[in-house]
Amino acid sequence: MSRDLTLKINGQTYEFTIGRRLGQIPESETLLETLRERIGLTGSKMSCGQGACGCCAVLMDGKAVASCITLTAECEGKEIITIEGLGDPVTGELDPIQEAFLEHNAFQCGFCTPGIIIAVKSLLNGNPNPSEDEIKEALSGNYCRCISHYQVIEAVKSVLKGGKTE
Amino acid sequence: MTEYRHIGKVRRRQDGRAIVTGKAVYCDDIKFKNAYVAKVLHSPYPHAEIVSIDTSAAEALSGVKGVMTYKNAPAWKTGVPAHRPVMDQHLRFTGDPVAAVAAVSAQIAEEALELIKVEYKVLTPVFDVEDAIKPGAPEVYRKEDNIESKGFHYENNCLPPGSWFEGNDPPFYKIQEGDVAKGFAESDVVVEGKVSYTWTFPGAPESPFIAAGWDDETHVSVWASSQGPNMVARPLAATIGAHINVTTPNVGGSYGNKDALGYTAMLIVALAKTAGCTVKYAMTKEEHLLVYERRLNNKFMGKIGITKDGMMRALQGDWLVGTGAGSELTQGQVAEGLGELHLALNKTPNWDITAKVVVSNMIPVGIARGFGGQELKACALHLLNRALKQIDMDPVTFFKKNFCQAGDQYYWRTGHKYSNPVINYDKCFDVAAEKFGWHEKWKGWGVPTRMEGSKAYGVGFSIHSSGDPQSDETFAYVRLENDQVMVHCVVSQFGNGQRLALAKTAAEILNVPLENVTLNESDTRTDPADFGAAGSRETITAGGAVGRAAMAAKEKLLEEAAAKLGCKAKELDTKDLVVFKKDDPSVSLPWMAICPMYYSITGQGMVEGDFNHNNCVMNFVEVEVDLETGLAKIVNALSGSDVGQIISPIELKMQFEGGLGSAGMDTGQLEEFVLDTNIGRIVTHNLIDYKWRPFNELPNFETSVLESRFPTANPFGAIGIGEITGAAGPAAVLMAIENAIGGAEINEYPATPDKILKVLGKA
Ligand code: FES
Ligand code: FES
Repeated sequence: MSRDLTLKINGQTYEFTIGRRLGQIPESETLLETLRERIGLTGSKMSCGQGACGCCAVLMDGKAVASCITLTAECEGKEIITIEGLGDPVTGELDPIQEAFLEHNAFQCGFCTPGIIIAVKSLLNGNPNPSEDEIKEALSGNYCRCISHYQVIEAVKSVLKGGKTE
Repeated sequence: MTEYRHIGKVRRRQDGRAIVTGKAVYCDDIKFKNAYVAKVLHSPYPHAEIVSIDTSAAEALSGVKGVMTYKNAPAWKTGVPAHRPVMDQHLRFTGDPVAAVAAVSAQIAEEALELIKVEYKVLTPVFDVEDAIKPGAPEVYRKEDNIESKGFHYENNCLPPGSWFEGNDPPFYKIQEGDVAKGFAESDVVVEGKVSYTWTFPGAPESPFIAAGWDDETHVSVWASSQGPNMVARPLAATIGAHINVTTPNVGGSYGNKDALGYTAMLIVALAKTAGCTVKYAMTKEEHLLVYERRLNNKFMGKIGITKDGMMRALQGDWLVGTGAGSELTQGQVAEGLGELHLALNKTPNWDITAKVVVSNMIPVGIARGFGGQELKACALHLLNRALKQIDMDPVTFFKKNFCQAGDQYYWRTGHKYSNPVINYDKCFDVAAEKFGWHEKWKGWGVPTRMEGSKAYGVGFSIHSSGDPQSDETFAYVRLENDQVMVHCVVSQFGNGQRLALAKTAAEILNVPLENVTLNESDTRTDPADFGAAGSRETITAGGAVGRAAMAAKEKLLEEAAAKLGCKAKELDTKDLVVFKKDDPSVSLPWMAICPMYYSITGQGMVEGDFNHNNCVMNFVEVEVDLETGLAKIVNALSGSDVGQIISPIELKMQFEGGLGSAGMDTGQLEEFVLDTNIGRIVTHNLIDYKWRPFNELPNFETSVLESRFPTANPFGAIGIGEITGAAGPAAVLMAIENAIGGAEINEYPATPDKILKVLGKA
């Protein structure tokens, strides 16, 4: 048995079928695998594979989810935004959060950075004016082994000051 | 102090936009043409023998390209000295590879692993270093494994000690000088004891990755998530007798730990050979935690003698270095660890310390920042605290008296002594202590700084120094073409900001905007030789080589311009891609006229290594201990150093902050692998169970940085510190915890709540 699946990713529509045949998406495939291996969106990173590190975070209907433990088959009708889709697709202008991360050099190896930016976006979508504690709490599931935390917090605070995020 | 255009200024990283938009390419983001996926079957037992193995069903599975076991693996060995085979019938730790499969997809490779039938004979394992060296202990390697090197023989689970890469120098694994008996007799206080430091996970977010394919019989192409591509290429090439080219795209964290990837690279190059195809192996995080190279564990049993006025008189001890089932470079860590202890306690006249490198049935040890010294000093300096308590001297005062000063001699990894005539860190102690508020916070040994309800606060201090910052030869070249500066040096992007520093260096010397500088991707095909990032060396070595290459290119540029302008090169200078006469800037030539369309000007640069430039980082910490729950947290941290010249202020600050994580400072109270000795397997093999520092647990963090312009080979007088920013951390943390809890002694890292409650008599 196979069924159709329509995914909306970064504003584009992708049509797949769920099934066991060649080219179909098996029920067990994670959203992270679909993004990285089928669509070529490799900005979301695989690290823990268990929902513990945030490296694979994407926005689903505006909220950050761990794509490594999300099944693609369950994403029908969801609006998915990955790190590649945060900026303006027409002008190439970056999201203010990305701009702030650049401004503050808020990364070292950068492997955790896409996930952290997505987590910040998710936070600000729900709470445009978080306190420093709320920022830290919202990022508490993001693993950053390089300890870029301090610059990340500076970057996020600067976005709030700039009032650029709606 | 000279005002620079780029050096010392905040600049955006050239790869920053790619990082924040998800376009930066890491190994596993590359689509390798015709590559098969590798998966590995790991030993379920810590010590066993394969009685029989049947791979026929796996081989018959559609989509499987090849299966490798000990039966068909090439007879290569890695490690120091060569001891660890690609695969063996004898399995030495839980996770030791039993078989490797190359298949068209990860799913098929995994299915194939399940089809492999293995019958094991379980052997008795040994885990603890002290147990492992007892006569009659289970043998991790045996006579027939033929481990022998420079006259040292393998016995009682002790690998030959000392580093082996130093030409004809004898291995360096002990310091014996003076007369310790006399030293103890002259001491006012002598303490004895045993302190142990746990095994930990450096923990890069990107798990180790290797892809490999044989281009022909003698050439292999490798893609590696490595901070040191030549460390992957050169030793393995020598082992297998083929030329290896290594490409390193962005690396998702390393912390010294994804450097040579010695065993993993050998395994995958072997699989590519036996399966006859290109294979890629992206470790899962679970494999990364369960089987990949980790930080060494060790015990120090020793005796220390000091005088009332706080001068070291004698140090004696056995350093048992646990290297698990294999050593990538543990002997190098022994050599440098001894050197680092010698730098810290430099005024000690009498030494008798000997290291043993001990194998066991635990995960093999690889490279990790702190490289031996972090581990040894965490133990030896903690024992020293017992003596300082008796003479009632605070540790800052003590180390200022005993630390290596300009002109003093210290041992380094060859076993010879080195010395820097100029670099002095005396002032650093005072400035950093002042900024931290050390003298107000220090209330004496075993006395908390303050109490708040059930929370007790205490402070600690320690220091680390390495002789590596100018080590080993380094080459670079710089090409000027049209309006571009192309820099070739084999420096990977793994988070330390070094590539930005090198681009700035070239831009500064050639006086061009940073945008006109391109750094070649780190690739051994196109970049000249260099040992790679390690020991904080690239600030001086790569910085020096790139700086000299840029200067050489500039000289040639000016000579060629002089010929065109009919003047002497020394009358000319260049700025913003225009060469002009110094006394009449209206006489000028744009670079485009000197190196037009298809013209190239190349400058070469080299730095000859030496060990005469030691860096230094001091860690001050304040901890809070909940006396009811036993939970200890770092609440304040200050790291101090003199870095000569700041190249990139934000990146420097982040290097200091980075000392908290990656099995650095946090190994004082938080991080450790937990072993289930019944099954010989670690139970903390995922990022939920292995404890790490999250965003909502950040201490207040400050730095104290001096800029003394040291005479190093860095063109601006800088010295690197990145490797060692957390190395003294664990010792400082444990000292602070003991002070907070009133002086009860804890002799095992990390000071987790159970240990704290136990010494408080509450558990
Ligand atoms: S990789 Fe998905 S949360 Fe870690
Ligand atoms: S920047 Fe490397 S893990 Fe966060």
